[in-house]
Amino acid sequence: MERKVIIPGEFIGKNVKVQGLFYRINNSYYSSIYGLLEENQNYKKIIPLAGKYIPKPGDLIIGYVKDIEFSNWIFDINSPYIGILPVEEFLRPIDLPKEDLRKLLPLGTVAYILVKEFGRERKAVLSLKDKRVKILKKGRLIEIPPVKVPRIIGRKSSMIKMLKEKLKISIIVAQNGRIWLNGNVDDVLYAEKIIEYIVKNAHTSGLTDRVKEIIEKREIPK
Amino acid sequence: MSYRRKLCMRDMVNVMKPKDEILANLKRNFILDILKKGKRVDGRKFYEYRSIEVQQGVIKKAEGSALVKIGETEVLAGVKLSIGSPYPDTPNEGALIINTELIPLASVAFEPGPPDENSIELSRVVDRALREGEVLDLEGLCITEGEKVWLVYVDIYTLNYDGNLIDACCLAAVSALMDARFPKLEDDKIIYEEKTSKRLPIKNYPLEVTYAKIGEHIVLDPCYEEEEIMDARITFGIKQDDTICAIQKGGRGSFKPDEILNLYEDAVEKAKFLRSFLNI
Amino acid sequence: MKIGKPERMIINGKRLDGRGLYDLRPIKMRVGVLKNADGSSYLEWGGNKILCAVHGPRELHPKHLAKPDKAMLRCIYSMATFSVKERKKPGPDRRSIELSKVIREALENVIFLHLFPQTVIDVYIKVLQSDGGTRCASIVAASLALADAGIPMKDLVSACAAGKVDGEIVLDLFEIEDNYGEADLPVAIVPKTGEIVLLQMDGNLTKDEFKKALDLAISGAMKVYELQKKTLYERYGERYETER
Repeated sequence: MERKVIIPGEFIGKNVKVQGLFYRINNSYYSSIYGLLEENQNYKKIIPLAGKYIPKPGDLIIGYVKDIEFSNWIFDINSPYIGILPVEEFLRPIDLPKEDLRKLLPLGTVAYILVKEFGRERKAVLSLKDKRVKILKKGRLIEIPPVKVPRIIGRKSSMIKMLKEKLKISIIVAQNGRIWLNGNVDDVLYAEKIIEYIVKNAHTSGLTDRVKEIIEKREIPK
Repeated sequence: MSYRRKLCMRDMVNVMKPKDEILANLKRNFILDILKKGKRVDGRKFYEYRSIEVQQGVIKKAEGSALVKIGETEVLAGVKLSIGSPYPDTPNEGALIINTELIPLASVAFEPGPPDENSIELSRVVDRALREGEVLDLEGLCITEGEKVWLVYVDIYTLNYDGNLIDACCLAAVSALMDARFPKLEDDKIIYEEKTSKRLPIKNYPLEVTYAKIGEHIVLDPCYEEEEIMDARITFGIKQDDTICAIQKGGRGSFKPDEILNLYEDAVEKAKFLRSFLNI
Repeated sequence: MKIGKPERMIINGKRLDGRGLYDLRPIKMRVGVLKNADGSSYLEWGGNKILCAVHGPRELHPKHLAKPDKAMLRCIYSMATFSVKERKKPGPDRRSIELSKVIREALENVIFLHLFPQTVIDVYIKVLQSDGGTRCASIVAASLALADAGIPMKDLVSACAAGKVDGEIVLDLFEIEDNYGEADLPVAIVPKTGEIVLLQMDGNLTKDEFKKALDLAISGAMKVYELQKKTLYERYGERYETER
């Protein structure tokens, strides 16, 4: 698929369907950001090259407890906005006056967690009531620009499947740009280098095959 | 050091930069794990520097300047000269004034505003090595005894922070001083536009070498991640005759006397290595 | 006459640095130069060397400063102590506070701040070496760094100064002309619409001269805009083909 670089204010077209960050004057559409424009048959899509994670209901993200209030845990979710886990969204019912939130999920607890709501208040309401969530007790957390997450996953999960298979470690790629790696220390450190390579070359083609080749030879990518 | 928020790098894989020490356990355990196996996060040996680059003369408006990179840590030092009166107790000596700033460009952890304790410690530790190590012959800065002397200002800005600012700042300061030339002096007025070929009176080449202690392990030139979870830090200022001119221990942890003596031996070698980047 | 003023600053239609009256100085731009920033740029414009970092949008502390309906933009312009002839004292002075304000106001015009309520976007501009015209250069650098950070904007902001030197209207004054010329007129524009978002002047101009200088500054800013575009396009190469 062909893509071209666009810059803020660049004209995209008249009377077209556009996805992404754009603005409109009468019937003319302009890009709001520095990114890539993907031309599809029925619509055009603006893909950002940079930017912060903005929570979206249904996203699975990695956060850590940075504060504890009377009936909420406050999470850092690698976003301009904080995440809130209300007691009702904990794994089981909690009898508030009797239980200590600090013991259930202490400060610094790292969790793979679901975004339930993101409303006017600009706080992401989080939930542990989902089969896919996980409390992460060991392993290594790294961060990549959230806009590069789709690249780590790949089309129909091709990249991530290949990485898990070839690198022989557990990997969780969260929508907010945090990646959790767990396994043999050497493999984890190697995986970090591979991920760095993917991020740096996110805009190039044939990446999955190239990465596969590198891993098979166990090369250190430049 | 405490960090208000994690750093977020562009186009780079980045290890989580936690708020304060909240996330430290997960990170610390991982780093301790690999140190036990004799490795470091960036693949270096324990007593090895990251790649070092020194570039002089990058700022023409300054009398001397140097850009120093140690790994991803990047600092810029500039030397400015002016004329002032000497201190009453040293009428035939000029003065060396060193100032280091952690600017918000370098890290989201650095806030604008008056310098905080980390900024001041850094500034003073670099200053200590250069002052006590007598980098300049201050008498060589005298113009008229008791009346006019040269004031030498070295200002150091951190452009990118990835650990071990002390060694980088000290190397940049010495390198910028070596790069500096006196401006032309006409009837006691400085013509900044015209540099003479006369260099500053450099007497010694003191450089600083810093180690971090993490658990029982000691590593040279800590990167950001290591600094963040280290227990203690020690810096040696070493002159070209292998004598010490400054020491600073930092952090809550401790060193044993043996450790310190061994590190001193190693620091002498490492200072020689750093000096090789100054072509002396 | 001021001390240090050259007798003539324009000789046979050439300026002291060899330029014609309507020539820009050489300009070099790069984006994505600082690893720890969300967006960054480095700009060399004649003897000016400027480094700019953008952090954000991010959580604002203290919370009560946050605006409920939009992001706050903060801008800090500062000069390195060794960026000028005589060492500048560290810390903000009245000039840099004023410049920070007018630069911020120019940038606020194009940023879609309402997309990130309750957050802050910080723009840090460090002048490493100055050679006249740093406010225009700073705006140009800041708008590149904002684009690099992925901040939504209706357009880039571009800028250039014009002025009067030795009785002639000239483009893009450098330090000596700035210090000893008759007038300096920095202008920043939104290139797509031609709106003026920064305009300052010190000196003396007649009505006709002002009109000529303003036109000239705008034409200079448009040339700078072309360079900004080129810098952004070339960062990732011309074309992209990807699997996804």
